[in-house]
This record gives sequence, structure tokens and C-alpha cells, in this order.
Amino acid sequence: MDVKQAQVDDYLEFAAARSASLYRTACLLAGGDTHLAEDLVQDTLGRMYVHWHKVSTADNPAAYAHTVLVRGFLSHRRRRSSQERPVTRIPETIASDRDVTTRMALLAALGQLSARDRAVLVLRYWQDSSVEETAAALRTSAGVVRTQTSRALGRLRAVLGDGITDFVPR
Amino acid sequence: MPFEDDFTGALQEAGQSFEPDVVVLVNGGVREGRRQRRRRTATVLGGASALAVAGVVGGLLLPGAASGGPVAGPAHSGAGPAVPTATPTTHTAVGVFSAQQMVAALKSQLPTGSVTQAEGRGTDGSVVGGANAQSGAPFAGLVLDDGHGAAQIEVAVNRVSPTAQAGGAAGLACPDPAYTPYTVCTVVQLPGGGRYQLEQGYEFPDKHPDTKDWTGYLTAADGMQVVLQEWNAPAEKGAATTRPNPPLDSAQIQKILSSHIWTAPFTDLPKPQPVTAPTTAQDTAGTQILANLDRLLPAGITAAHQNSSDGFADIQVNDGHGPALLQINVQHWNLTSNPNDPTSDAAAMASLFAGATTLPNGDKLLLLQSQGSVAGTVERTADLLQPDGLRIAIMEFNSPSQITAATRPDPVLTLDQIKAITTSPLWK
Repeated sequence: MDVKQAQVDDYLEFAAARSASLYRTACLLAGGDTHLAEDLVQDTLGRMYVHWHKVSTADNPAAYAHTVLVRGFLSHRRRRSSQERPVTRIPETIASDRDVTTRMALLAALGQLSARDRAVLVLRYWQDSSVEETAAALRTSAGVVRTQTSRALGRLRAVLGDGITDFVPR
Repeated sequence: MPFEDDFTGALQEAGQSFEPDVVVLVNGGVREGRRQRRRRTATVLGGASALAVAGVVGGLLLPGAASGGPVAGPAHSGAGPAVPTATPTTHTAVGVFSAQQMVAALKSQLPTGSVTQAEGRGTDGSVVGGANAQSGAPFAGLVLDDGHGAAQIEVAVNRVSPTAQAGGAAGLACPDPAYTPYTVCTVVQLPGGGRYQLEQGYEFPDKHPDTKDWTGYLTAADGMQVVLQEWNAPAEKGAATTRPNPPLDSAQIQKILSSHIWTAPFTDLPKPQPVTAPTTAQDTAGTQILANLDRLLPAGITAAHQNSSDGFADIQVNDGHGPALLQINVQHWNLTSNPNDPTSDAAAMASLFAGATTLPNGDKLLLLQSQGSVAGTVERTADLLQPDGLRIAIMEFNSPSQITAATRPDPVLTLDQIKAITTSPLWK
């Protein structure tokens, strides 16, 4: 049951439009490991491809793709965690040394959190998902998300100090 | 600057800095999709199990309950991944309490006022407003203006494990003041084994911004838990406060939570299934890992800057010649899973330990030294898998973190020493 050509076109349009956003989310989840992020996005897009006939009629395929990505990350990370490097490759963009340092510090700090803590923070503060949406994506309750958000922020703060800018060496 | 603001800003900046190669991603996605489809012909579980999340947070919600179903249990067999749709999704429950009914139930319990932005989800998967139809607890949310300022209010009905208290489940234990120093937590033990817990805190634990977030939990002995959350603003984040406090006081919250109106949605939640064996064993607690490490480090080595979470810990070790990072994973893998399922634990471990040395007791060991990710750094790894699925993996470096330059010629411990730690009977 191959996806029909119209659906393939439809899928490709979706994948092209969403891959950048998925990739950036994946980079944050992966604590800056861009190779892992690439794997995660390709895996996510692969799942979207397989289920496209159902996904394409969903209310919000883009949101669904992010949910698939986060869940994929959570199961994937467990498999790879012993080999994972919190920050291996920092994107090479034109930025001041200070910006780069801040970014590295942040990614390194994220890399020290558990996968679930990272997922909660990325969903809530990068994707601006509500507690309810985060709970649905992580298949848990709003109460658990709320508690976990507080704890994850607490842990991050313990790593970074009171202010991220304070952490950056001047 | 408040920490959350800094963090949000830095996170946005960091995220935007990553430039994807869209062609590589899309082509890779299509290739991966075709590969996955070939794989799926063997079993209907293929797609579903690959998507299953490894474990519910803290293992606190019973399988089949509000968490959205068992990890890979019968309720999901053959159902494929949950796909949000406009129509009710398949549900093991009867489906007698719709999203409309949830919203109406919440409205019926509130003081008079104007209600806007209603949303909700029923036990049948139906939704009102922008609620996500994916599996989850029945809930209702709205913005109420009682004349003193608009405020968001939400209610949800959960089923929790009666034994979840030890794990610190939401509503069964007050939050740790280390992370929520400004939260006032009040607990009332009720006749019949029930518990009412009210947490009067803030949306952001450090009160920046100082939007108040009050959450009441009423948990009955049979596992029924009703949760009401309210803010002194029309949205939990990103909206200015409209009033000094959220609209409902403790007594009002408890009264609403105690209403019999929530019995119907609760009854319609999937019954908990007998918990036989956990789908994935809990990883060893971080504190236990640190305690074991403390006993196993060779004499003369000091440890500092300890961090840990379940299944993982990192410390800085020092032999007097400079600090260096040591990380350790202690995980449990289900080696009795189907090795022909490429997403299974067994398949993952078979692949990872393919080139490993088998020790006399059956353990598999990988020992290696390689160049680290920063030029001049060295990484040593000892990765041990026991026949029962317990895995202990140590990585150490000759630098205090993985992203900084070497501060010493070699890591602190030799390969033999990290091997000795992984093979210790303490991890059993």
C-alpha cells in the first residue's frame, strides 16, 4: 500500500516546511549533538511518511510531528545515553564569542539534565507548549508536568547559577 | 533578569542558531520511512512499540489510567501510534463523559461570572476548544471573570496508584522546597483514607513573573484523583495578572473537588490493569550510583561536583594532578525482549555489544580509549552488560567537562580501574 503520488507530494511539502523547526527542537533535546538531532528528525519524518495517510488528516500534523520527535528522543536516548556527548558540535554561525559561550554553557547544562527534564523544558520554553500539551506529548498528567518543570528548572539553575549571563565568563 | 526569562531567551537563541540541511533531512526521512514500512510487515506492533515512551514519569500513574495507556500493553496492541483526529479515538473505556460534559461540569461548580475560552477533553477522546485529542486525562479549562479579574481555571480527573505516595506522586506529597521555595503546601487527611492537598505557589518557582498558581488535589483511597488548578491571570504563562489571588480559596477548591460530579468521568477511565512486571525496569537511583561510586573509587582519588539522576551520575575525580570528568550510566535493559524487533532492548544491546569480550561469568565488556571531542582530549570507556540486563557504563576524560580542553595528559583512572568499577558486585 504505497502512498499515492499526490500524498507523496503532500508529504514532501510538509517535510520540507517542518524539517527546520523539527531539527532545531531536536538539537536542543540532544543538548547540541547535531548528528543525533539529524537522526531523530529523519526518524520522525520516516514515521510521518509511514503513517502519512492518517497523519495528513489530523488536526495539526506539525504538532504531531513534534510529539513523535520528543517521544522518539526519549526512547532513543535511553539506547544511546552512554555514548552521548552532551555537546559535541556547536553550530558555526557568525556570533560574538560571548554569544557562543552562552550557547555552549546552556547546551552543556541541558546535556546534564535527564532526558525527561530536557524534554519538559524544551517543550515548555522553546516550543511554548502549555502544561496540557506537554502532558499529552509525554503521556503523563498536567500535575506531573508542572512538578517536573519546577524540578528541571531547579536542576538547571543549580548547574548554571542564578542567571545564565552570570555564568558566562567575562 | 529573572532566571526563566534568561533561560527562555538563551534557549530561543541557541535553537535558532542551528541551521539544518533541509534536503538531507527530507531525503533521509523518506528513506527512513521506506525502511520502516518494510519492517512493519512482520507485526502490527512494529509502529506502535517504536513510538511507545519508555515508562511513565516516575511510574506513578497506573497503566491504562490517565497517563494515556500502558507503555506497550494490550490496550495499544495493533492500534498504531496515537494520531490526533477530529473524531473520537479508540478507547478502552465506555466513553460516557464527553469534553462538553467536562466543561459543563466545571462550569456548574464555579461561582457566577463570565466564562470564556472553554476547552476540554472527554473520556471518549472528544475535545472542546484547542485541547489536544491525544490520549490523556479528561479535563476542562476555562477563563472565569467573577467581576474581580479574569482567571484561568482547570480541572482534571486522574487515576493514581494507591501506592504512589512513596514515589512522590503529584498531590500525594508536597513539592520539594529546594525547587519551589515559595510554595505553601497544606495537607488535610480525610476520613476514609482520602487526602486533600493544596499547593499555593507560583507559575514560576522563583516568582518572576509572580503569577500565582494554586493547585488542589483530592485523592481518594480508590485512586480517584481530582485536580483543580487556578491562576490569578487569564493564562498560566504570558498574561498579566488581573487580581491579587486566584479566585477560589482553599475551602471552595476542596468543595469543588469533593463533588460527585467527577465520579462519572473517573468511573469511565480505564480500570487499572494488574501490574505484573514493569515494561522497563527502573534505572538505579542517582543517589545510589553516587554512593556506590564513593565506595569503589581507588584510594587517593577525591570526588567533587556530583550530579545525578536516575540511571546516571557524573562527578569530577582528582588524584591531585587536576580534576577530570567521570560519567556513569547504570541501566536495566530487557534482554528477554524480541531480538528480531529492531526497536527492542535486546536488539539494541546485541548491536552495541557485538564486539564485546565475554567474561567468565557471562558479562559482556567493552573497553576502549579514544580521542575526545575536543582536540587533545582522551576518553576512556568501560561498558559492561550483565546477562540479566544490568548495564554499567563509565566514561572518563582528561578534562573537567566534555567541551573544554585537556587539563592533564590522561584521565584519572586507568582502563583497568574503570573496568574494576563496572564489574563490582555492588551494582547487583
